[in-house]
Amino acid sequence: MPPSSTEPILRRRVPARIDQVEVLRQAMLGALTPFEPSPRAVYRLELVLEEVFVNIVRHAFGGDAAAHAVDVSLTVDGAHWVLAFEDDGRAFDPTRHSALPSGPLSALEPGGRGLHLVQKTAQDMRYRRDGALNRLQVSIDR
Amino acid sequence: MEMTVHELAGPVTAVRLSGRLDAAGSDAISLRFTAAVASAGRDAVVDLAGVSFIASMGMRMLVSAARSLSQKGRRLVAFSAPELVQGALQDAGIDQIIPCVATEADALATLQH
Repeated sequence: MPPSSTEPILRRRVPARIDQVEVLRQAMLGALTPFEPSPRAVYRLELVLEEVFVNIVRHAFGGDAAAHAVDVSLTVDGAHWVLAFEDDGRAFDPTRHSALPSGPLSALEPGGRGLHLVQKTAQDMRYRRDGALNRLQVSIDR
Repeated sequence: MEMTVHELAGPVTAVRLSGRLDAAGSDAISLRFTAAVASAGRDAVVDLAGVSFIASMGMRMLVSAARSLSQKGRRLVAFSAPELVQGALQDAGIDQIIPCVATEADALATLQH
């Protein structure tokens, strides 16, 4: 299999809409094919792609997501895949600790687990605010 | 995303899910799932054997139904999750909220305790 590449094997700009997750997923699977990733690696990549992208669409733009786009890329970096996301929404650092909802089931907040899942899945996460842009890189074991 | 519902002997609703429980899949079935499970007010077992992927929105759907049942003194038990799905459920702490067991028989036995 191809060992690694400094250039992204996938680079897409898509509208900030939930339905674009599937577009990105299919493009990612196509880009991954030559690398023969394990089912576990594919699951991790799909999970990070979904959680981060959905979080951006739902929370970054204050109800005005349709007017924005999100840049997504995938790079092979040695022993890791690196998924990178860039958006021009409000500043938000998803690497900060995300605690799971707690308490009795009858009163439990049903959601709020997405970023925790990303943090558990990622080998490394790096965020920086660059002018008006959020830039996030998530490394995942190959 | 597909969902089938059948009633088992005794006061238990059984639901079989198959496909991807991502944001789109969860959106597609959440109303029907809630109607079938939470509105019935019976204990429920949910077969995840055919679920190839689950993300936080799918987990939210399961927890929301389990919470509704809990408020009525009923329980929800999941079973037969594939290994990678089970791992994601554990990573999100769902197995601490909803019993996630190996078989339907185990799920029904869990409801007896």
